[in-house]
Amino acid sequence: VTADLRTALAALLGSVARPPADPASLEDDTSLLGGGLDLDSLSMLELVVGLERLGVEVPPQDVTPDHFRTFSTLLDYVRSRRAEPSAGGVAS
Amino acid sequence: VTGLGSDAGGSLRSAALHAAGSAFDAIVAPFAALRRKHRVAAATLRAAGLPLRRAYAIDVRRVRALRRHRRLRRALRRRGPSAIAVRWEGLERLTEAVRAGRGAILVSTHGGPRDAIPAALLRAGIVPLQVRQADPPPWAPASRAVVFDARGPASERARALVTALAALRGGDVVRITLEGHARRRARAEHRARLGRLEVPAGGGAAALARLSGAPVLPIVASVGFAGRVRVVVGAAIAPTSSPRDAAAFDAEMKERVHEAFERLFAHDPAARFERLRWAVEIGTWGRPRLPVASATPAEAVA
Repeated sequence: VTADLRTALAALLGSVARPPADPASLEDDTSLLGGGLDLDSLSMLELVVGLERLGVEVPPQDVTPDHFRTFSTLLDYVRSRRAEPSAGGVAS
Repeated sequence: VTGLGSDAGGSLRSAALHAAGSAFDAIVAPFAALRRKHRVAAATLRAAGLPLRRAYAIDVRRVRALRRHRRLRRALRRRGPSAIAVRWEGLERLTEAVRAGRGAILVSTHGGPRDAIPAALLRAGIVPLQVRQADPPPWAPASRAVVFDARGPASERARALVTALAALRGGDVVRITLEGHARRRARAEHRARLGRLEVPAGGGAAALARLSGAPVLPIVASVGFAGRVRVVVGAAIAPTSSPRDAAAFDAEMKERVHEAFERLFAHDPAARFERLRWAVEIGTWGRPRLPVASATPAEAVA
């Protein structure tokens, strides 16, 4: 399930990046803001909606650099949300 | 739809004061426009490669508009939204959209009397969630604005958009700007609008429409000689039911919104002038892109 989650998140990140990125190229320390994928605000909005489709609700106050800094911090955040009963499970 | 303030006497006095101020502006503005900080039309027209012969007249109009807006802001700070008289056109378009229950996205441009639209909406009983980079005006309910730091990381602006999306899904009204925020830099797409000048275009409204299903309604405002605010709401632009290609959808929606603004500006020349006032200040956005060579100042501002 962890591998599925990682794969699903990488695919999602690759699809919302502009230009689209190869999910296989994403490392744990790939930056999502600034360098690396360099997501802009609209890409991050798409990312949040994409996470909803994966079953992870992201409240606005959680859209912070702490959670969205790198691939690994986002993965950790998604896992933590998944662990919360109110957040629902990841449909992977 | 809404007209004079809560007490007719106060409104009449306010209108008289505004009119007196506007008359004074007509005397002062030709001199104030000579100051370096107000000589912006020439710079804009030069950047656009347009003849400069009407630059001074444009600057005078701009100064008069700035002074009029300043009076309006002072009145709002002192007395709140009840200080203004509003003449609505197309308010029913917004109320119908709200009644439909899918939320509504009000899109306004930078420039113009920036506090007038939220004040007029309050007068009409509509309190939109405003996506803005500056602090809300002191008279606005703070809870109805999501303020982001344009100098911060992209997550700052994304947080505002996520908040707006949640509000729209709850059937709320969201107000957002056409051009996006002031620090969009090189990523900003440019669209040929404002006569022949190309100016930045944001993607927030189109993305929110696509993700929420809410219609987009353009809205413009201008302030008259006696301080009355004229607010015009354009026809609702409904998103297509099931967008398959997000990029194509957003591009089409942006085009439809810009066309709607062109129609509004044709209907309300004062609002078009407000847009000029914004455009000449887009030094923070970068230089306007090249115009069509045959454009004239009249085409750019009229």
